[in-house]
Amino acid sequence: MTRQILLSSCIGLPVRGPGGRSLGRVADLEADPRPAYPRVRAVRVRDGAIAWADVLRFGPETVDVATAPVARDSRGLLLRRDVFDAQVVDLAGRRLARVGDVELVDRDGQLDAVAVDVGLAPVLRRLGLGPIARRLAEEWIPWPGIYLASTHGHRLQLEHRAEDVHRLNQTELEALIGRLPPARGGEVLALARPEDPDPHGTARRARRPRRFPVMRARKRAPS
Amino acid sequence: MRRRSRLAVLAAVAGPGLLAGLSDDDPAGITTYSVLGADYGYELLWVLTLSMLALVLFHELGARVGVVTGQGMAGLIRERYGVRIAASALAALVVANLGTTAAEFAGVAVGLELAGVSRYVSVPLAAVAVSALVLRGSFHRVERVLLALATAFATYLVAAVLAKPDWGAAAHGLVVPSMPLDRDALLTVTAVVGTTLAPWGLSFIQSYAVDKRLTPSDLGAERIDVVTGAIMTGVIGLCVVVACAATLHASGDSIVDARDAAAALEPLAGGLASALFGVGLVGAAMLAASVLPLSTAYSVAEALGREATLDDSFGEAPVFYAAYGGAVAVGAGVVLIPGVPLVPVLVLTQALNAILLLPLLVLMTRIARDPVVMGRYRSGRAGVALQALTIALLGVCVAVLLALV
Repeated sequence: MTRQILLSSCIGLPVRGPGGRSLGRVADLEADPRPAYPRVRAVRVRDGAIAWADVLRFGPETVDVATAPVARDSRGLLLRRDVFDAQVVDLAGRRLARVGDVELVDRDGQLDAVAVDVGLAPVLRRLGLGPIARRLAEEWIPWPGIYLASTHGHRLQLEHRAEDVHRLNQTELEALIGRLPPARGGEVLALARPEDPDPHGTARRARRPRRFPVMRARKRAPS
Repeated sequence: MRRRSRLAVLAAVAGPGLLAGLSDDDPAGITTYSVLGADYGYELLWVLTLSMLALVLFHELGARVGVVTGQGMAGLIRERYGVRIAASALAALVVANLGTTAAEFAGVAVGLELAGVSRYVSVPLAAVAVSALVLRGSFHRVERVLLALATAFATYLVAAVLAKPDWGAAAHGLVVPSMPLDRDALLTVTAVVGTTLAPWGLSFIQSYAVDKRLTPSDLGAERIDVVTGAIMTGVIGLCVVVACAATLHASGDSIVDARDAAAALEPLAGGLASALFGVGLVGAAMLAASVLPLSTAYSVAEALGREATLDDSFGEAPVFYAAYGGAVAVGAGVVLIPGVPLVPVLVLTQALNAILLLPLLVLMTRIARDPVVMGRYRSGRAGVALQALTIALLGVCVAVLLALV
């Protein structure tokens, strides 16, 4: 079964432990940044994290879990901290948009981040202006079209659709590779022929893909 | 050769500090300085010194945060504190900016009415001029025109010299603090500080530094730009105070606004001094009437995630240009509505600016010292202590202002 969830609707959900005991509220979702679509591996509450394997039911009203949260440092990608409201810039550093929401897909019990919405609609929705937001077009960018530039606990993440890489001219491609560690730079070139560049089909839903050929979301200080 | 290249770098980087500083000397500022000089002579000049230091401290912080993060204030607040806080800050900023923009257009109207030009002619023309400048100009053209407008402030230097002030008394007043402990003096001191450091100036310098695409390697030159801008702002304020102290205070005259000062200068310092004062007022108003809507447009676009630059066309940045046009239309429109009580609007605007200033400074200070955001460019301990001290003093000023108004 496939279910679409918005990150904004997850943040703040009450978390219940065994016997319905309150464990706080969802503060963030911790994801593994390595797959093409970051996979949620823990739910963070104020006092720690609960592994995704211990989540019995995720939403829409509550999150039911089998164990109490374990205190530990955040690892990997925190979708709220690192992606929400992050500025999206192109390779030349031109500021294009800001992430208003993150779309997650729950497929067979696995939750993946598949796209970000950079339109005005999620901003208005988060301000409680849902009726106005519904009239506005969504502007989704599939996750493979972005990479995160972050110096806070995790490295650059990058996945690009082959056509995005091909769309770059020589200078842009050099600039992109220059920003990455050598091994990842090689992966960019290898991405020219991925086996399944868009398994979730998010690229087909993107309203304005041409405006965002290749982007990075920046939310941290330059190193 | 090396010196020449340093000067070239400085010339290329200069702009944010100069424009943000000088546009603080807007008609409201000129009025406040005029009242300070007319009522207290040289005695309260030390307030200008303190204001100048606060300007350096927070304009440097704003420019540094913008350069390092590549984001304006509104966008950064959204990123760090979420959409709701960003929307609240933006709403207050926009309302305060619209009121201040109206004050700038009122300055154009008042300045040109001294020359016999009706406000129904001068204000629409000024609105069209500033709109055309931003809509049709590239970043560099806009910057050059704004810097050219800023040269109008030179008239105050001439006006001050023509007024034949007592420079020794002025120097003494600049560095030796003293003040009568009465309500009016407290209000005047607070107004001087409030008119120098404004929320729109802080958001402008950060966004403008980003729009100018300055990089961390430009920070040294940008600091010089900020300090130069603050010193020039202070010097112009000094000239206005000195011109009024040497004439109006010496003769025992009191004034209500800058128009009174320009008119009152004529018999005391000659027609040229009076005319220069009026020209300076119009130049100051035009500069601020361009910068205020620009600051508003940057903030609206950033908070909504539609960041834009002056080099973008209307089609590329509709939110930015719509916000700019809207700010100009509202600011100019308010001045043209017959019977609109401008004074309550301006008082309310000043109060809103004062209320907004403190939380904005606190948010800026927190962001600037956050190593996650600023990396190695974060504020040091000494800087944070100075900022905290300044915010505390400003807090006292704001409390006094709100208690006395």
